[in-house]
Amino acid sequence: MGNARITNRIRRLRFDHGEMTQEELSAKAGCTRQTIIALEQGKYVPSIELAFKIARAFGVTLEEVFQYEE
Amino acid sequence: MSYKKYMFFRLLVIVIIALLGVWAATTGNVLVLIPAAVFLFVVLLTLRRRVTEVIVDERVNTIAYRASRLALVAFVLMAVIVGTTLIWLARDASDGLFQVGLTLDYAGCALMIFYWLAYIYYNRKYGGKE
Repeated sequence: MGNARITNRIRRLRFDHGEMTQEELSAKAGCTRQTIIALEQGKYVPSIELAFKIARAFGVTLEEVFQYEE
Repeated sequence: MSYKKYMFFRLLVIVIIALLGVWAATTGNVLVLIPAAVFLFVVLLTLRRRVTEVIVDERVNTIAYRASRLALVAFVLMAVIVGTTLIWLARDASDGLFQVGLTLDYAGCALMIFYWLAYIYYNRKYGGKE
């Protein structure tokens, strides 16, 4: 939590997928909408399991959603 | 059932239990409160199972874990400091302060022992066993 070194493109990917709502993404990934909000704001870093679920919800690889910046 | 509906019913149940508690305390019918509370708790559990949305996920669990850890540390520190201070204050007189201080110190120690046992259990569960 609060670790800004892992960034994500969830907001962009939602836009690219026909303005998928946060609710739809949370239902597909099996998490709460508050978690999606926290992820988009960079306030929360997900577990590997949730990261994979989100990537699969968009049909892309993990690296296309999450980036590790040193 | 949506999460919002569930939250409404949960609030309703809390209000009913609170009103029942006040009624039981004023009339002296405390025994009526117990089965009523159990019944409402079962109703609440049944309603929760009908919620189709995800209510608890890893972020909620992380928050709960951090909050419980902070509460544990705060309680143990407070119990030990206040307990030891009370024992020290009551050193010359055997009044109630000594008993309260002793209870607080023992409570702090007991909590640390529970924490230690739980730590061993989870350490073994998640591969810490050699």
